Amino acid sequence: MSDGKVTLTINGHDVEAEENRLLIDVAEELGVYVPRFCYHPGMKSVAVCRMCLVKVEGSRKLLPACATPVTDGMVVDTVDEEAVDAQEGMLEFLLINHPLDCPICDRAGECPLQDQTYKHGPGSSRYIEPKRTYEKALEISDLVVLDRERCVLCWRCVRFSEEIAGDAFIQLIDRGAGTQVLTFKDDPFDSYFSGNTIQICPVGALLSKPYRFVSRPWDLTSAPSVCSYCAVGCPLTNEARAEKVVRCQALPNENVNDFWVCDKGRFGYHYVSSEERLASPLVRTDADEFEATSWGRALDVVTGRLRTARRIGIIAGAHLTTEDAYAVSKLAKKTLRTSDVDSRLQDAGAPYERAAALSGVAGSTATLNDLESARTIVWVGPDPKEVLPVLYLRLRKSVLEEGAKLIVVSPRRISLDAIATHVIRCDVGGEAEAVDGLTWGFDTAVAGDVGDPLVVCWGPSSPGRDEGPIVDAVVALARNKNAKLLVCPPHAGSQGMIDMGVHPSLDPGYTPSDSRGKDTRGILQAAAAGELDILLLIGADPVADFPDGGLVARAFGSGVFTVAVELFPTESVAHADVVFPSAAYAEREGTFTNLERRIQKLEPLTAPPGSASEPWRICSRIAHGLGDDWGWAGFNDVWTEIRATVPTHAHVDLTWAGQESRPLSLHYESPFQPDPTHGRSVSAGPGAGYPKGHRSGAPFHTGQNWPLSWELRGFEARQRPGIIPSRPPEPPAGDDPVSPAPAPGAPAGDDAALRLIPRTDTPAGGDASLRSGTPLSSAFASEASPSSAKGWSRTGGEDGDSPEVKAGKSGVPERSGESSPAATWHSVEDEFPSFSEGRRSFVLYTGRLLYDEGAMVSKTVALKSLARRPFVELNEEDAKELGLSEGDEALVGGNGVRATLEVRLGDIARGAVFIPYDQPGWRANSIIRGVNPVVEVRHP
Amino acid sequence: MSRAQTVVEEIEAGGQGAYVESYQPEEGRMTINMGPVHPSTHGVLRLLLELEGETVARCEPIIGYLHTGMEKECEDQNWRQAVTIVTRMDYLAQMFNEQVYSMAVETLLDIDVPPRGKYIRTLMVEMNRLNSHLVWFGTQGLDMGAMSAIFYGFRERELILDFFEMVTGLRMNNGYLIPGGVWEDLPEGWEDVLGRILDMLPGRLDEYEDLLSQNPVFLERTLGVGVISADEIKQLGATGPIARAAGIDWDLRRDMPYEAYGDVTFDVPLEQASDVYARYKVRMAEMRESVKIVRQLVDKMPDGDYKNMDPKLMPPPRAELNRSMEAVIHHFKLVTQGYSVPAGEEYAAVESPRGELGCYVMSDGGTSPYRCHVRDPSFVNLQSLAPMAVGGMLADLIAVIASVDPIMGGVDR
Amino acid sequence: MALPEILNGMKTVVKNVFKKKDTVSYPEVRRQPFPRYKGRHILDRHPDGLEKCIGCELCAGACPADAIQVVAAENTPEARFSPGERYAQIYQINYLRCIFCGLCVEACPTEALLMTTEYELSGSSREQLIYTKDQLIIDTPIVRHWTTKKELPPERQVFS
Repeated sequence: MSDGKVTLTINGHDVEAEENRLLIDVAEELGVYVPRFCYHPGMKSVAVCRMCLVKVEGSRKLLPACATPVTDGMVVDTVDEEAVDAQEGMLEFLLINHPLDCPICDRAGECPLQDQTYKHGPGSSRYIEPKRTYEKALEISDLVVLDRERCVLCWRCVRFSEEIAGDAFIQLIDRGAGTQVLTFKDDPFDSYFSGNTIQICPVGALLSKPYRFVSRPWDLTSAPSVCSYCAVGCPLTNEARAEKVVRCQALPNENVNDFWVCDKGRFGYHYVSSEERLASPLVRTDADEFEATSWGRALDVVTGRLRTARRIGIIAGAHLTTEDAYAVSKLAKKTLRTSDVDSRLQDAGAPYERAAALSGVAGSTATLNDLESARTIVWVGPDPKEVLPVLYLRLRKSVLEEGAKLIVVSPRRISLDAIATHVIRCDVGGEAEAVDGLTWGFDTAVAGDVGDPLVVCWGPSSPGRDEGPIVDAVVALARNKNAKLLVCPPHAGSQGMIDMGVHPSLDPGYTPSDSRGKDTRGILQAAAAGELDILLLIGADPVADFPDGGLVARAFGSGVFTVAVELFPTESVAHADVVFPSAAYAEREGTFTNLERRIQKLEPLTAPPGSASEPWRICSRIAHGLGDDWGWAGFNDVWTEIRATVPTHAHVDLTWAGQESRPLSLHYESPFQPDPTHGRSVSAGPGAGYPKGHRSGAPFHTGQNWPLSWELRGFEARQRPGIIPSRPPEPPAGDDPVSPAPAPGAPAGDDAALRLIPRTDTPAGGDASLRSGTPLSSAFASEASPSSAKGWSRTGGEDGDSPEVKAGKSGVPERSGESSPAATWHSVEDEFPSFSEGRRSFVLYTGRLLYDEGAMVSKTVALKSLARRPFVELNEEDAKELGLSEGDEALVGGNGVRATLEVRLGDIARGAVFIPYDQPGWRANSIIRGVNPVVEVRHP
Repeated sequence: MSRAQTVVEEIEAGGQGAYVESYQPEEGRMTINMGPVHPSTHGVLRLLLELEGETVARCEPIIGYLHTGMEKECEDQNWRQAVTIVTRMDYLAQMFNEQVYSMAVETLLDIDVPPRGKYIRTLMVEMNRLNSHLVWFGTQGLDMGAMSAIFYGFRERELILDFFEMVTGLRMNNGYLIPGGVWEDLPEGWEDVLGRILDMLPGRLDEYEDLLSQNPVFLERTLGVGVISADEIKQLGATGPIARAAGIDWDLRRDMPYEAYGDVTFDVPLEQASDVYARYKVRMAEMRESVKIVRQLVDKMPDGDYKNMDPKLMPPPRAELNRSMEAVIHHFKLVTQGYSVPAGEEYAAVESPRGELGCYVMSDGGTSPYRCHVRDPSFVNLQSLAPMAVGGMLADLIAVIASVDPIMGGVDR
Repeated sequence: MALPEILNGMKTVVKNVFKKKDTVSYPEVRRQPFPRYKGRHILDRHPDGLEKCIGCELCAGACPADAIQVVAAENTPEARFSPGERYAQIYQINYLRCIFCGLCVEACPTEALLMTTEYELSGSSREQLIYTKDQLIIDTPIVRHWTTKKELPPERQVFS
């Protein structure tokens, strides 16, 4: 046929399909399930398991359905006697060496081998000889356990590691009957994506260590959800046993994550059921201790203060849902009438609003699928593998499989360099210039590869630095080349916050505010200067996340009345006067807006601890206490209001954002169950499911038993698009109050000098003391307020002798237990000895690593041990000048604080150092001061 | 217009609940609530009575006091587990519940039960019928003031329960008949135990007849009491001994043979009077017929499998588990998840001690019933209580209830 | 008159008065159930003392009444409870829920879970009737509530 469609017959049903599609997929969509082990829709076919053999008319031999494209007029029979016989024979072969492990195997019950043996295999065994044996339960990493006996040699894990993740960490070794799957001797199984091999393993050979022997499928209740970590927003299924989340699995969605999720998302669920969770409201007593109290009393204290307060600052965290964001925005801008509200902590210097200059959307105009159809992708930002791992997989796929050209602009070597067509190594802060070079074609070697369609990706990289010029340059590039823009904010809730107007200059729906409020830095500066009456922290932990440790210390040191809504007793909570416990993502209904602005729904699975509640509800109760009744009783009320008031979200129908989809009615055809005469046939794919979990706990009804075998989930997921809200109407040209479009030809941004490095001062901030041309050495010498830095560095309550410190503001709940990382810092009290020979100042470039010391990861048992110690990455030549080499210790100082860190040599721009932002034991924001920080490094 | 039609219309007019709520007795009548905790109502049956003197002017059975949601509970279990639920519905005819459910599921699965399995099933349900009728005999006698009857009835019933225990491991709620056959083969020595029961029973039945059949007090209280016409019985859908006592010659075992009933000969006792005594006669005769049937089944008991040995349906033999991977997998899948049954719906019916016991099973193709409805004869027969009682004396109502023999577990499910 | 009929009935009664008693004076006399009887569970051991139970949870999965709770854990060389990798760390049967259907015994792949003929399962509190692994594992004796002088064989002596 000319339109790329072919017509074929499968088991007597005529079906029309696109050309070149695989027979196995077409059959499955028709409802004919062909058994398989090696085939996975997310990877290329290899046809090694020979399980999917089907009869095709005209072919002398049986053909593997997973490697046979459909052709016009093909007549296929999957239940032909010969095919069924072959399938049964293959299973008999596979089971010959399979150990009798079902009762002790974690996969049992949801095992594709079991399911397909039950459906297609022989009923009893003819094999009586001893089986092949290997050492059982090899722990090949901290997360994965390997049992080689159970392997059916399907190559799925090997193909995943090579094709998808690009980390070759597992391979089939030896030949013949001795073929076995194993990791390399010298390379540990060390990948950010190792968990996916567990999920795609069709037997129990690769299993999860945290989930080992924890549960059985029939004990689990599950609910679809969305990962709460990064902004990609991978759909997950959360599964709980006895009200405790015990497992997360990727919920495939072609539009977002394909079939994959990173290990942080997969194993990072322990924090939900952590013992440390806050369970009731806390109020600081006169004796400076926290006292558990009722919601009513805590709300009275807060509303009492708010009634008299005139200067209010609100900082919201970027892990909150879209509804929370709307509630925070409404609380600030409607009820409290302040624009001093912001959600940007780690990305404090990222002016997302300037991205609106392109299309009116303060966010992405591209979707993740646009990456795959792009001819060129420009990446300006952090290392996606560390901060947005599944985006890295999508980029990798676009480049390696779809043939897009990738241009990476980065001051240091990142994971994408390996697959990039061009790498532009710029200075820190020089990204804007490099992007301008692309815009105007200065760099002819690269410019030739800037094709159409083009997707420009930008994400804030070094925490806290001013990204304004970079955004302007990126927007200019996108506008100039008619490209789409992919804005990559760091966290799951970041984009939702911007959409809902938790922003000093944007109202919900990207409308510019009438008045421009203070951003995070401004709020903290106001607090530090004593110009703030009350500070609301809603899911925000500035002590850990705000990239200027000294400023945060001074802000809290000023004694501002602080209200915190949090999951955990974080260090910021320790400074609060009233604390409200918050519900975690697995405990609530809600939506996350991911980096492409796709709204996806979370379903509640477990109950929150104690009286913890959703932040939007807390905001609504505070407003109610102030006499402003929002009338919100439930999740749907919030959305009714969002639809009514936010123009871009007016048409968001959450039934489309739900993770639930209509069940496919599969015809299950096998000799055991001849197609019955009663209308609809059996809808149970490989092995139906367990009635108990589905009926008794899961809050949603898929129409199928749940949990499903993951194979089916793959196909179900394609039905589930999520929803991307509409764009606001284009603003009249040249009348953009947020960010005037830069004149073509001129460098974007208001201050060209900003791009020069090194530079310490902040262009926008109001803090005069920080805004100095003060030489660095004198900054060390004359610390603006050393005592407050000291006070903060101790966080604990023992230093009542320091008058600046809010005395005893630390009746931290006993549960917090752990000593604060601040304790490991050197105080500047003892005068940072002036550097002598061999010291140099460097521009600091930081960034998060995947496993860090964030509040959620650090409460996750499985991942805690994986976080690396902090280090400092130097250019080889810089290191040589300093007399440092790989593995040495170096003294790093800044902001009056110094630390000893391990040296690593890397491909980083000269004059810059990279320090991971938040690793166990030490937090980089202690040495960050101002917007574009500089540190000194020397030999210890 | 018959009394039955009136009742039906009243209920249709506003539902039973509405009717009870708005109930106002007529002038000069007295309202009495009999039950739900009345010893002669055989469980938690409540009767709303309206009396004119001692004459029952109106009788309204109110049910639901034993509702435990068993039909719904079945939907939470897999097909095999649901047997343990259905057996608890009519707890005096437990095997019949299992049998009718299994027959419905087998039809959906399109599988056969091996001959030995069919014979064992038939044998067990006929013993169950004896068990059930013995309880009826005891309570009917007791309600008429013949205390001895319940002693004798329960004495013989114990022996049957012993036999059940020997075969199934449990005395009641056995869960012995499963889709595809029976749980286990008959144990060694079953013929002896059963033989002694069968040898003894006819003599004991003679004793019962000596005790009651000609007893003038018993006759006085049963003859002409609780009469209902055959037409009304048909309109109300009542089945079993009640119908046969009114001359309606209908017995599923003979008229629509299932299991091993085609291979045995027996008579279907009939009476014409349609009073309490006629029902007594029918049930007593049925017990003798059951003994006859069981004897034939024992004689003809075939060898072979006692259940369908399809490895996709029944967990493999235990010895296989130590050597065969296929067996381990099939065992695991079958005991935890169970087999799935092709989508469809099926109605099966058997002749229980109380009448036509039906089971309507619906599958959506999954591993648990989508719907499992049981047409319990107790529930249907209970509707005939009102026409029988009205016009009679209050004291006769006790005899009538006993003759209807309702089991509230089956009524409310 | 109806006297003959009444006398006929009386004859039956009198005849039975002199028959052997059918009742059993429980608890002084107990009746021994048949071997197939589905009573209280036990967890068996291997001859070498290791537990047969491997914590596979099949019994819990097969239980229609959700009466069984199993939480598995991993055997270590220091603490080995059962052969293989897995053992039952927690094993509980709730006899308030158990319906004695025997599906769990059928499900047990290692023949660890068995049913005995012990039927005297009563207790005065909820906790007493949730049997833990300590009570179920076989080396603790089955607690009987009463001791009896005499046990009758399963088949009654009524046929004599």
